[in-house]
Amino acid sequence: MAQSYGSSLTGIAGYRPGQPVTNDVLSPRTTVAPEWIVERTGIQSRHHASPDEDITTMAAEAGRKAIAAANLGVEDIDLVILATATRRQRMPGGGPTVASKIGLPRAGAFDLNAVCAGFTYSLAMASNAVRTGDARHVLVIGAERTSEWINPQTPDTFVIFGDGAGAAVVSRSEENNIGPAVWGSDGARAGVLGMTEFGPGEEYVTMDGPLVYKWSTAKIPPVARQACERYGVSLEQVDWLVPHQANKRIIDTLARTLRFPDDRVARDVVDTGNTSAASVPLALSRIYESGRMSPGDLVLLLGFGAGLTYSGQVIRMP
Amino acid sequence: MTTPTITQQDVFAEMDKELRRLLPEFTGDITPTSTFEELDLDSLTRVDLLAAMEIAFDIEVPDDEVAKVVRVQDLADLVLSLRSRA
Repeated sequence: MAQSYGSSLTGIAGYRPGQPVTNDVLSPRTTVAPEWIVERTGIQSRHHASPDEDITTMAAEAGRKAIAAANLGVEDIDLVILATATRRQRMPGGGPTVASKIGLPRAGAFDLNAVCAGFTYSLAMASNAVRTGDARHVLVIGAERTSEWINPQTPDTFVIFGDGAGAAVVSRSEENNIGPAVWGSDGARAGVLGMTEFGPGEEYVTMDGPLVYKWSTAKIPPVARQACERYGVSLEQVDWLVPHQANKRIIDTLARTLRFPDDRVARDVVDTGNTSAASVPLALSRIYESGRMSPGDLVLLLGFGAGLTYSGQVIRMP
Repeated sequence: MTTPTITQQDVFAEMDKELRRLLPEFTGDITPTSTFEELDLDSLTRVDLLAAMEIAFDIEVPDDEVAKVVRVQDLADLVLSLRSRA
């Protein structure tokens, strides 16, 4: 008979490439003032990767740190899931390269594209893999190089997106410390946010900001409550809210709608920008590394975005 | 059970209340011909207003109507139209 196990997050880490790119630096390259950027998005700065820092490089940096944070060695990782939507090379996937760069001798590896919900989807896949016994430890990485796909002529996307990678290790455990995922999609709204081709070799992210805002602020609060319910806790018992760092306006509205204590809401977007699949693990790792979390704290993770797609789950921190 | 009838006055009253909640520093007049741009509502705050009206009047604003709502009267007309279809 198949054995089943619990799953736990045992390591979390982040990697932000290069120096912060401030609004004062970015504004002259586009058509809006720094003040507009802050008022519209809440973002003060973001990071852009250098030409020699591709997605697999950033992912490997974050991955190594997460494995070390979990007190594990390379031989312990059985699977790598790379959540990304901004790799230019379609085939092969980046996961095997990431595993190779870290030096993982026995890991399976695949890519998962759910854009901004990529990390939370991947976390659910990792949890399932350890719970069924398919893996002892899974390295989950959200890594994006969105700066390659933004157009200075469209400031609403040009100023919000950033680069980076966040990684987590999910391990087999006695307890169920990663809750069931609540997920869904709305493909009828696929045109609201995604890559658009403007000509040969000219592909950029385009977005209908008001429609993204409308959908996310209406759709995600019930998902949040369902994720708590499925883990057997109330929203009031959750210690931290870590939503996808789309922009500060969306985060503020979500927090207000859920009546979540403001000082317990991740707003990493302010100096990291929107890093798509990397945003949730980057925000989570920042809070964790700040020392503000206590062992056993409950965190509600919410990924949502292009697809449109969403997933959320409650986890218990180590 | 029939859907309760609402009047244009009902919609204007609710919209005035929500606008002043969203724009606490605004003390001027809000008229049917006021544009949301004149009221200094950016596009995301305009969505907040639409969401408040959706809840108040139990309607759902279709995506293709969102960008068309530029004046107070436009939103009032849309709310009444959606309610009549309910």
